[in-house]
Amino acid sequence: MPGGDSGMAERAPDPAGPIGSVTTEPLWVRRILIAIAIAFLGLFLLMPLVAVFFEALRGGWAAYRASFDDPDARAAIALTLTVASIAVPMNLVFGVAAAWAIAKFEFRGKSLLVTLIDLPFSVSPVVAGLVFVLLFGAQGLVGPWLREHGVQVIFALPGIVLATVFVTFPFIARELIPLMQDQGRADEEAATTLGASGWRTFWSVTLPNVKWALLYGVLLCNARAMGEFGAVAVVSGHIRGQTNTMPLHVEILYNEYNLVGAFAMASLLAGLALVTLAIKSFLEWRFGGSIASAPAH
Amino acid sequence: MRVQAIGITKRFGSDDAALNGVDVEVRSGELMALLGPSGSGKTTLLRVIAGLETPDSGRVMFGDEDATDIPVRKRRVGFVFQHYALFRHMTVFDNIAFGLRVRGRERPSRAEIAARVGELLRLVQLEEYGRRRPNQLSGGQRQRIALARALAVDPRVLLLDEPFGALDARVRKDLRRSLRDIHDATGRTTIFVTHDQDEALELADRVAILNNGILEQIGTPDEVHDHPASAFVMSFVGESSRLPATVSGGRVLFRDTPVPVTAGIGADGPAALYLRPWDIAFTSGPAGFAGHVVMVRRAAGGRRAEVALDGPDAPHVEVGVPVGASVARGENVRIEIRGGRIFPA
Repeated sequence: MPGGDSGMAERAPDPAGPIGSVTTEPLWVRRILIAIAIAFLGLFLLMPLVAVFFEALRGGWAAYRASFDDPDARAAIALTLTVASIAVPMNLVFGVAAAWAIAKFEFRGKSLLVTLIDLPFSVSPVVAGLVFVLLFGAQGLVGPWLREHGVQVIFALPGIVLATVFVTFPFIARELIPLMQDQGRADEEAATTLGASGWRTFWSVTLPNVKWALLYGVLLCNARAMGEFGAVAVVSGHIRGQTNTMPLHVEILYNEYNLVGAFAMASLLAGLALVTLAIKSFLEWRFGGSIASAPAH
Repeated sequence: MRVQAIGITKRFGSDDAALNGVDVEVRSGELMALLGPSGSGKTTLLRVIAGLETPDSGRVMFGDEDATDIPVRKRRVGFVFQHYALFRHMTVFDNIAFGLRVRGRERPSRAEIAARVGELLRLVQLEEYGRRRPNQLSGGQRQRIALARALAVDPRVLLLDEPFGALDARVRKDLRRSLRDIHDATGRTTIFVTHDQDEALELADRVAILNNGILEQIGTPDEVHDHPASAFVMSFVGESSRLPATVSGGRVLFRDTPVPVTAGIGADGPAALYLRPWDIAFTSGPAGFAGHVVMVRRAAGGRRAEVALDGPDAPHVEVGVPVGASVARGENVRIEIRGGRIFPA
């Protein structure tokens, strides 16, 4: 039974074998649990993924290729890449700064800051988008003033970037904070007693200590930045060729019954997800110690 | 370089003061131990001297210079951290060279750095380890590298926080010796923190004993051991037993029997009598106090018998067992008190 065998392989390190181990369930229980897990994964994750590529290629390779010749599709891809290339570096800087402040210093309001960092996780993306509309929209608080100065935020690139930055903010900070807290301040203190400036300490000591966790956070942040729908949908205005990102474009094409086009675009996003997953797994396998926690001294 | 901490007070949050008006003077070229139980403030004092903590009040003097307001990176102290804090992504060579490379304009040339690092690696007897990474070294080797890294910047004072705390007994012994050798070879003022009295007494020229943020006593190992200034020092340094006693008319009485203690007798009233194992002896005569042996154990220097005295409270005392004497558990014995020290109860 292949399912059962792979389940057994997972338990191989147990030298006492399945018999006699207190925590081992009977064979039939294990098989049922494994079967449920596999069925669930297949139904809810694998099948949709296959369906995306199947639908995308249903009209043949030529039709798939042709769907990317559409200028609107190209504009959507370009916009998504632009947004990600602005939002991810911004969150890289914010995330590192916030994590550094929280992990290495004591200050008033620290727990409030930690709570605020989690806010984007708990707020619905649509609400986040609406907040930006209320702030920067035509009837918003600062929208009219900005408009007078020739800056349009809502229904334009700045709004999309703002919404994306908001939604993806926690990814990098959340990845770094536990690791930096775990590593403590001794390395930085050592560098300082040796005469290094704060800047030098950051580049030579702090950053190298967290680089793999940082890369991991950037990867997750990027995946979410490219895939974000809700918050962006509210602020974008869905102007074809101008403010449509890839996820928004998928929806438009789908609503127009252009299934090949919609799924072709979706297949790009799915491909991105798979690549992210592969790199993430590689990082976890190769540098697991310096992502989850500091290596043992 | 003479180092002085003058009236240092430091408080963390609303807790009791970690340090409360501590005065310590470390003479130039001296090897000083800061000894105390955990929470006594010894590490905080070391960090204040290094500049890693800012005192709420008090001054830190390096020689005649007031160093209190000099930031850590300009203070030129060598600090060895309890868990070494080696830069894990750098080789041993790069770790030691770090302090030389960050100097900016006065940065030595590559060749000078290489020569200096080589010299330090020889000093700590790890010449062959320059290319290794910290995680390829044993605990004792990491400690030596941390020491070499701290020495690389030619510090005015060397500070070590529990330098042998995380090492096993044998490595600890070797390292104590090499710290002493390195200290003697360079003559650099050195302060180390420890909770281990043996380490402090064996290694240090002088020992400063802290308890609850207060300096209890500062002196040579012999002074603090033989002439403890307080009951805390008496009980923390060396072995001792405590008996409830009374002072009456300039005499010390234990159970209404005079005890031959003359020094440090205060006003009449209850007092605490502290006895070293050799202040108590077995006796065969009718004098002394009856009791029975609860346990016999082997201490580093000899054997100790723990004797429970008969009578109220049945206090226990530790008696030094002479070589060749036979004492068995459960045996009924008589002991006499031949000396001791008296402190206010």
